Amino acid sequence: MDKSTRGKNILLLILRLFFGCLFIYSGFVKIADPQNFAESIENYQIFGTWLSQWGAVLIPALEIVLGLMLLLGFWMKEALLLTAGLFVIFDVMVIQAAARGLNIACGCFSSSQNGLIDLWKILANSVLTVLIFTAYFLFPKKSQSAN
Amino acid sequence: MKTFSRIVQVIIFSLIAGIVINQFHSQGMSWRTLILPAFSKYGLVETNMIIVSADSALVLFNNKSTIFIDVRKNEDFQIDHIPLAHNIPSSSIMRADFSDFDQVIFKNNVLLYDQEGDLERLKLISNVWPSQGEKRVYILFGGYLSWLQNQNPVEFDG
Repeated sequence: MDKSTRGKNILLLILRLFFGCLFIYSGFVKIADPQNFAESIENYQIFGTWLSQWGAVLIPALEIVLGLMLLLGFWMKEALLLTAGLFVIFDVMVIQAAARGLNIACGCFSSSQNGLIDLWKILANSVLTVLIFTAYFLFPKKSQSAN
Repeated sequence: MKTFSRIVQVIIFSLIAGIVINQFHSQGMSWRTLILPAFSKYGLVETNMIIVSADSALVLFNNKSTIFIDVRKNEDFQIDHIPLAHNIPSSSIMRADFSDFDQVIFKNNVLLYDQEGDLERLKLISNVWPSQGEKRVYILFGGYLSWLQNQNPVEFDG
């Protein structure tokens, strides 16, 4: 294994552990108060009340499952793809809310109604999105079948 | 194709896990809140829900034939509300957790109101509402704000 491959693998491992822990934390925080999280989703005014309830059921569980998959290295390509997809969805929701001037809580890593959407929140989410896509492209494609 | 299939499997597994966790979670979403609206949308579940204006609500109020239910948060209810209204926050209703409330409420016609009359939310609540027998569930169009605009009676706490 050459130096560059080893460097990529270490970076991928760090990103996997970071996103794994982040998603498990975020999932547990949201699952602790599903009603509040459903309200956070509804505040974005994209989905109605009913779909927001389903979102509050699915997203925290999906985050925990993806977090575990990233930590354990199980179905890595799929875990990275889904995580990246989730971040893109979160980004679109946050940016459209900011563009529409909605004064709402992000609900990104908590179910609370605190922490309003601002430029920093958008920037932080964008950085995380770039990092998860970096992890996806660092993942060695030829070894996918080995998982 | 394999990747797509695995992604679908992960989503379905997470969805089932989420539903199960919510059923055992004290703050979780009741399956009734999640499933029943899908059936009521297509008329497969009968609801006794009737949407009424603030004027009609005042008639019901004066007849004393209907119990008024304020589904707003307790902090909002504490400030002011329709006289004699009971406060059952929508979060409790979504969990289908009615054990703490006087069961007589569910044997009467009720009128549900929130702050602004969010019809989708109130319809969802009325689907879960455990009315007994052929009791009606009224929904206040325009919510508490329309009640205030009509200058109907209000009760202040504290």
